[in-house]
Amino acid sequence: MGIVLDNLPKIEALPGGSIALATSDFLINWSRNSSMWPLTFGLACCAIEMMAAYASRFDFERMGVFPRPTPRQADVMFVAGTVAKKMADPIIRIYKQMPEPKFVIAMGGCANCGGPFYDSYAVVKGVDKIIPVDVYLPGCPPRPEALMYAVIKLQEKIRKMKVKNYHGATALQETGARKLS
Amino acid sequence: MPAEEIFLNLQASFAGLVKSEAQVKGYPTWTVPAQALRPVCDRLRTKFSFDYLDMVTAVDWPASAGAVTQVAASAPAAAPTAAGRDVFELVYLISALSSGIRVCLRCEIPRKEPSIHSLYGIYMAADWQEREVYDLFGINFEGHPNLKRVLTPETQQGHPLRKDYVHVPDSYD
Repeated sequence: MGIVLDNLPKIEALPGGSIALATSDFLINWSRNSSMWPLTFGLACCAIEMMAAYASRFDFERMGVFPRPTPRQADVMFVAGTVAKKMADPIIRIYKQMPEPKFVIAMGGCANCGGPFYDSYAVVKGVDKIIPVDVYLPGCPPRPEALMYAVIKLQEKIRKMKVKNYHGATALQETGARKLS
Repeated sequence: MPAEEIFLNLQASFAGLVKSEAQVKGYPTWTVPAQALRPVCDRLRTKFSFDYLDMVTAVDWPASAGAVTQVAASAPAAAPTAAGRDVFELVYLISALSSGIRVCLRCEIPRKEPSIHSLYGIYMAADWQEREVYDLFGINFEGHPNLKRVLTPETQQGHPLRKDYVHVPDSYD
């Protein structure tokens, strides 16, 4: 099984077929957004939709999204659900354990801004108060298709990354949103 | 043994143990004086084989006017009126799994420096249940071996389910 080079516009195959040329940015971003491994990590009812997205009906794995049981192997964190204040410190801790470059999708109203718990004493009003977020996905909870759309949006974002400019980090991370509490 | 006989047996030994006006879901609901709670539970466990503590919770009945009108307006008509009581009402659900009887015990303690005997040692389930009540209402359970917060973070100020709770913004707000 080989790679169909004709479908990849930024790869140029030289005559003979044994050599192909591409930019390093394209190759790195291509491999990054083709194998975004998320952390197996759910906080509330959004996690049910996330699990449905992994299962056979929606089949996330055809997009290269394959849940990993450890933050050391993960590229993406889906914050799927309500972030309680008691959970805030473990989230920061596992975020720090993920290798760079790392991305965060805030899934659902609770992870975006607190959602129905906007005035609760026990809930962090948006996970972006503790870690930088790349894609905000609204919904309560979002359907698996919506989570796929968020992943596609994140892939578009990764395709714009430049190794030279950002040292492998996203623009958001580079501009200092990385100051963790 | 039906619940009525158990009630008469307990009433003979513990003065002040009466049936409550408000019934909880049709369970026999008894009001127990706070100092008699632990001996009553001890007898329920040893003599009448009430071997399972379903639930421990509390209700805040403050005396201050603003909070009371809000509570009284939303409370059902059968509930006792709250005006001027200024108490915490503790609610215990206890079951006898062998006979299928479930009773509800209620007792009232003053709202200022609230304290009551722990049921730890009679019912092991009281451990975390009482920690939860301590966490959310600030009720001190005497004799509890490990009375510290269980649900809210260690940085939490105050006890959130009290009617007069005012949230102090913390580092996550």
